[in-house]
Amino acid sequence: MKKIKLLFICVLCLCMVSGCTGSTSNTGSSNGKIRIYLTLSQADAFRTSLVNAALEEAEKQGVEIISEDAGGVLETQVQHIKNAAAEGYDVILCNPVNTDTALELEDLAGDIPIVFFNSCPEDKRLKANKYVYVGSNDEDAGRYQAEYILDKGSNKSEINVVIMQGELGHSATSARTNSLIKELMESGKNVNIVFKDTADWDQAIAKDMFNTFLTTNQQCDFVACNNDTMALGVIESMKENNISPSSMPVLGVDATSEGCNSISAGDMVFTVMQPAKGQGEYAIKAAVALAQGKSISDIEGASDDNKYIYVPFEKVTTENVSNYK
Amino acid sequence: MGKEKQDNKTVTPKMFSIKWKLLCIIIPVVVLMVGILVISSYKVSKELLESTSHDLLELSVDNQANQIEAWMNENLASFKMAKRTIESTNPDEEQLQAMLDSYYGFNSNFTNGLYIADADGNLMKASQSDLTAGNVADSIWFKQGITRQNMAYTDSYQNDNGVNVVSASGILKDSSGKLKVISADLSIDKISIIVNSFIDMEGAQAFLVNKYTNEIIAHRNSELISTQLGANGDKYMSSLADKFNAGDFDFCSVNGNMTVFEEIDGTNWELVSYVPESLILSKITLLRNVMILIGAVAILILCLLIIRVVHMIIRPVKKLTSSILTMSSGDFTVEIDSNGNDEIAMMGQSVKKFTSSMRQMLHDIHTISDKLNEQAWRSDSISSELYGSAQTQATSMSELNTTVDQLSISVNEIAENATKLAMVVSDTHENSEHVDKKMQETVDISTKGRTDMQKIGKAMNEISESISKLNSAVDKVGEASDEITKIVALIGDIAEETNLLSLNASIEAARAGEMGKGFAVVAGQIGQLASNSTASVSNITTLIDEIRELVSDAVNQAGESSKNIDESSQLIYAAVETFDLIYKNIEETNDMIAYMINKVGEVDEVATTVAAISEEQAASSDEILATSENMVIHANSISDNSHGVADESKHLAETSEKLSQQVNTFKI
Repeated sequence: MKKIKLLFICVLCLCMVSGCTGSTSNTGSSNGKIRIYLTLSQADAFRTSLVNAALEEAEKQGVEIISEDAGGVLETQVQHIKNAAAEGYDVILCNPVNTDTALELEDLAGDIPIVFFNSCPEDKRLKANKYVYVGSNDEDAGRYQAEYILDKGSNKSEINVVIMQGELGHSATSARTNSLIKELMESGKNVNIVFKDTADWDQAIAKDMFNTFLTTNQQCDFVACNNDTMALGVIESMKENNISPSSMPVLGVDATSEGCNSISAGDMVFTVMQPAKGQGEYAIKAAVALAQGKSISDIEGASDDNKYIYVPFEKVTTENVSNYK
Repeated sequence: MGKEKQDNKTVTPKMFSIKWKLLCIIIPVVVLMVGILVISSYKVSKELLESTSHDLLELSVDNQANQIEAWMNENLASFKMAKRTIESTNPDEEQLQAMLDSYYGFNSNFTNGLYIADADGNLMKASQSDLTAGNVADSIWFKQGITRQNMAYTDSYQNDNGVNVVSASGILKDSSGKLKVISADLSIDKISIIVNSFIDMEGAQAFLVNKYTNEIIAHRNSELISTQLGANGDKYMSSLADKFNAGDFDFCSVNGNMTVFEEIDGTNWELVSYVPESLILSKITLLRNVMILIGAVAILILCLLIIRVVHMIIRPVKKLTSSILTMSSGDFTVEIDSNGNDEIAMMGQSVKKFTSSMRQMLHDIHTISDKLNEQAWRSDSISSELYGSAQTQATSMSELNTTVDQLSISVNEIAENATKLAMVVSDTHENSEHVDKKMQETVDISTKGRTDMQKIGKAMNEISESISKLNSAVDKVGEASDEITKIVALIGDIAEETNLLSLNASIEAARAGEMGKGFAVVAGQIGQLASNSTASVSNITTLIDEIRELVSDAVNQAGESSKNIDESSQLIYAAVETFDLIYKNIEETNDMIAYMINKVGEVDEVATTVAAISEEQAASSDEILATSENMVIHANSISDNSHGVADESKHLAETSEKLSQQVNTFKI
């Protein structure tokens, strides 16, 4: 009888302890509005439109948001995070100046969850429903380019491709390039990569490199660039060397206004729109979910491991370019 | 312990000692808990070990990849520096040769230094270099070199000297306007050494694979270098090849190997590192064995400890139990230890008190039962005596009963006789009344006679002669009258005596029991008296008849002397006077008879009363008989009961003997 009593008490204690720990976890921000701190690495056209979309979405959801620009200075961004932690914000939206600093930023934020956007930290720095990344899957960009190439070159026995890469070590560079090459290789078509080098996202370097490529006198069917800027450099080179861009269709990524103009002008043929607006909206949705202690799994585009929310790219061609100008 | 168990068994086979009960409860619980503890800690440790192994492998491959990257990039940086120097200085052929010579042996990683070739197949190299190049344009380093401006690593290949190498090659942009490729070779063996040297994890293996071509670039087994992944038919390699084809570079377990992948930046290479799970499992197995051993030892020690502790605690109870068992067999001479201050000691003390009080009590019972026994025997003899007495009494009673019965019969007879007497007296009474009537008639007749006398008075004279004769007759009547007078006197005596007798009879009746016979005598006298009086009455009747004869004689003489009447008228007158006298006498006689009848009536009454009394007496004697019969029955039942009492007292004696025997079985 005594033993049964003792056991009962033990079970009761356990229940109480677990009950206590359970109840502490969900305090979140039930009192008042959810407060979001947004820190931007450095404003540019794309990021500005992303932030604007985020602010708009925040207003729609009725959450409080403050937006700061680190101006590309790491120390400033670190200060932003410290401020957010000190002022007890519910969640931080962060476009890291340097993705390698993610761990430091997470430490500084303490218990505050972080939604990274625009630049993706390493996978191991992300944590399900705590440190998540909202962005577009760069692999999709590479794959869309490959699909376009394979579609247009389907009648060719051999497809020769020039690849202009972005900065080495940049997550977008390897993701876009690798998915492009992988898709091409796995197509079963006879695909040759006749030139592949890094032009550091730069138009002039791309132009110079394409010039160099031309000296190798190799066949070229398509030029796939990691971004529109480099694609424009390639077009420039072609024009200088009296090559019609239509003979070597040039593909970019980002659907910048210059890129879209180039497509309209019939120079570039294809680009991929990274939806700044969508990314801004989803960043807020993710932030709200985390602030409420919920999982991001209910949000569209969430990965199975609850670390990523992928906002799909959109293909831009001559047919639909007018929509993106 | 075994002995005690056996002891228990001999007492009651079903007994299951507290000790074993306790052990049966505690030990399984302890075993279960230790088991759960060991199993759960094993599980936690196992998971920890697995995740640690995974982390370690990840860390190892990460570190390795970084080392390789650093090594490659360091070399690549050197090449790029040289290339940039060449491009910026824009040297002539001689200067360029000098430059290339200067790079020879500059770094042990690429002892042959840099070499440059143009599309026409012209090769420039350091003068000491042993490099040979057959068809430059077809060589991998040249073909891949023209696909980039920045130097990058080519796929691995076997150069013309038969050495497995990778080249760092790229387009050299000098002022010649010719397409030139600058290249430098790194030995794959060197890369393999680098790859295998930086494995952090014990038992782990690593190798490099070109992720686009699935070609093995570096492997500890040099035979596999430059072959396709899975080409040697190895299952693990084949599975990896599938993974590479699918582009799946996530951590996984392939054919019993924990495998991680790491991309080498700036190359198409994927570093694969794996560790056989059996290695981790062996650690886990060791852990499990240790855990099992610890668990078993812990259980063993705990069990021994529990057995010992329970034994210690239970020992006084066992002693107490054996004491109680001894007591239950009737031996109260046991001594009980009751040292200590716990519940069991309290129990011992209580039992001790109990035994001493039991001892006292048994002693008392013993004494009492002895006394009881004695008393029982005494009571038995008394009851036997009582039985004898009762029997005697019963016999006496039945004798008495017989006596009373006889008495009753006698009384009844008396009653009958009294009744008969009464009836006789009654008849006498009736007869005397007859006499009275006749007397009355006689009186009437005498009255008539007197009148006749008076009538014949006239003739008296005539019959005066006869009167003398009549005189003598009348004398005779007078004599008769005297006798009657005497008889009447006698009857009066009888009446008196009867009266006395009746008195006596009533007294006797009161004392009927003993004096029945006396009364019978009295009754007989009464009967005699009655007959005497009857006889007297008949005498009277006879006398009367004689008187009548005498009278008729007188009448006859009177008739004879009618002729003499005249003569004797005087005589007649005298006769009339005499007649009157006779009449008077007759009337007196009549009165006497009436008196007598009266007396006889009284006698009748008395006799009737006597009869009634003697009937009552008979009834009473019947009642007495009934009562005495009852008394006999009671006496018999007393006798029976006293017999029962005797039996019971005998029983009691026996029982008390048994009691004393049983009490004697207790040792005190």
